[in-house]
Amino acid sequence: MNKEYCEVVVEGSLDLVRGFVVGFLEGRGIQGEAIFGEDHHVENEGKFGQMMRLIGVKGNRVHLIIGVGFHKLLEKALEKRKDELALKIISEKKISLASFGFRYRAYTKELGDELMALFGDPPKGLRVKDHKPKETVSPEGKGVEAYAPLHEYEVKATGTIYGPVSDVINFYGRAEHHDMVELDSIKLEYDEV
Amino acid sequence: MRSAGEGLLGILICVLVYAVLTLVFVDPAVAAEAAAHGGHDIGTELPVWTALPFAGILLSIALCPLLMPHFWHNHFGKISVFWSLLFAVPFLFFYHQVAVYYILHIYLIDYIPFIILLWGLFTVAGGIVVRGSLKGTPALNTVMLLIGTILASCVGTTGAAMVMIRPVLRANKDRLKKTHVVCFFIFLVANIGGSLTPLGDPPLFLGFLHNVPFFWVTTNVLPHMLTASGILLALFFILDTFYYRNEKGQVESGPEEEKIPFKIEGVVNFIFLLGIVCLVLMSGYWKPGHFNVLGVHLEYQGVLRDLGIITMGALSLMFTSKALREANDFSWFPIMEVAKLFAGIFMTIIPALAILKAGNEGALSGLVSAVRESYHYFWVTGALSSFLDNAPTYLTFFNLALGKLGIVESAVPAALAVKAATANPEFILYLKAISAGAVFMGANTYIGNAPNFMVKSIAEEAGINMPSFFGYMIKYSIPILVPVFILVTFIFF
Repeated sequence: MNKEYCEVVVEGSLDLVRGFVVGFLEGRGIQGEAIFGEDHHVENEGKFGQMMRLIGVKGNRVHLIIGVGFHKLLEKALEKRKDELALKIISEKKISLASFGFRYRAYTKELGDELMALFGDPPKGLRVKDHKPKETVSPEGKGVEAYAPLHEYEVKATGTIYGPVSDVINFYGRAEHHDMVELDSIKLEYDEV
Repeated sequence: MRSAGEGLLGILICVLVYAVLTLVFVDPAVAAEAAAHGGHDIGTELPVWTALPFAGILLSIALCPLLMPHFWHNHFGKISVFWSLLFAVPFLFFYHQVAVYYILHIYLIDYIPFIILLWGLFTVAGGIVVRGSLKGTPALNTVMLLIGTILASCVGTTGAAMVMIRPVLRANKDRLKKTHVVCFFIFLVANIGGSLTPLGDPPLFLGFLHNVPFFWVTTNVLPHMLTASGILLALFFILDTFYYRNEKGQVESGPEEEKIPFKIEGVVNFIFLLGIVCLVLMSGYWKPGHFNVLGVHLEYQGVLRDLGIITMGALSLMFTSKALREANDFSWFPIMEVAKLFAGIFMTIIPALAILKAGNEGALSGLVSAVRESYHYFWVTGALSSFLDNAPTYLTFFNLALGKLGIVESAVPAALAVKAATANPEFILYLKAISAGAVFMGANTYIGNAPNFMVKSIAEEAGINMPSFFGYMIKYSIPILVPVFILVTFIFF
């Protein structure tokens, strides 16, 4: 069974939250992970929120993805240190699902097959939606051209990958190393904690 | 890959056409009559709209590959014929012998030598292969761009791009960020590097065919080229170093591959390349005289140069193994593209050139008087070269400058002789601006110069996410190239 995660939004500077959380994990000897949204393209703020933060109306917010259970310990620890540290938990939400949209194109069969396999058959636990690669073969486009550029082979596709948050984040890391792949930010869906 | 036999057939057709034109039609009586028609200045009579087919073919080249790539790929030759006939049929109908003279003149003086040189350089460069397992560090990438920049003035921007792009892509295959490498390659190897000789970029060869001395651009555009390429190479090194440092530790190392030692194969082609350089130089300095083909003066040295270049290309085909050409993905398609499209360009450019040559007497007198300063020439030539092909653009503004200053083509060498009493400082400055503008600013868009699209396509097939047409302009050419060109303007114009 997949581990359950929740998103904790902490008001404060990223460095301070990062130091506190990592120190807390080490100090308590907790074998767990803390994923900082900013490190993994997790979309956690709308355009309006970003604008408010830019003009200083809203303070810095750090989006942290941690295992359910650990968030309670963290909450208590932050509560205990509230007079010393300018850190405050704004919200806690249990993550039900994570997803990201993708687009790719390739101009060689080899790379096309690799990308179709990567997104068409994602790792166990993940699912793909609306992935319908469109392959075009133009034999007349073989070779080098200058004024009439046409690729001999072309594949284009879009789609969405969704599944448990940690798997989605891991897969995102793999997919983003392909130059011909464009990925949207990871979106989270929640259950109330 | 199309067979070398097709290439040889192409050469044979060229030779036959040349032979027929030069041997069969040389009739002194006809020549004298046509020469008299040649004196007829159509530039003062033609209205501006006669240049519409010229605008049409240039816009077709610029827009069709983007808007309808399949249609364009299959029918560009027919489109070229369409625009040509749109001008040629009424032109012949109204001007008879005069029209025949003008058409023959542009094809014999400009088109055939132009295509032969491009074919020769393309054939020879296509036989040179650079191999080796190189690691795309910022220093190595900068050195490869520098080599490509220098090579571009020797083998032409298309040849240099064809020889260098694959080694550059192979060296960078494990890098995470490599789009900038290809974009700077387009800036330097596919464009700016070609500014030092008439072999480097087609517009400069057209200048050479119109009496601009071979080494004039080498000495006169060198400061501009060094400034632009020096800044761009330094910028590239800084940017590539930044990306390279950020990538450390993130790169997934692929399976261990066999190390291939660095080597250049097909070196015999350097001899043929040298042969082409010598032939072009010979045609610029040896003046044995001329003969007439229907009133068009053809110089013996020009004919000898063209036949010699064909011989060099043929020797390259004979002495280079098929495997080397396959390694460069060599085919005749690019040169067929140039031959078909430029056949149309040279036909339709006739009215534009004639009107501009007429200067204030022509229908474009407004443009002639509006483009006054050297920086006007640099930016107007450059801006048009960014979106239209730079060779006809160069020829257009070259003629504009001649028309404005009342210089005839035969007086061009004297007007460019810096320390001579005949020198025309204004023309020298204009021609520097036109040359630099046409060659440098071809890099502003994918459609500015033929190798740009070729490099983009090869990079995409190697799995590099190249920016779109506007993405290239917004992310690369406008923020990087335009400030460099502004600096060049302030320093030199």
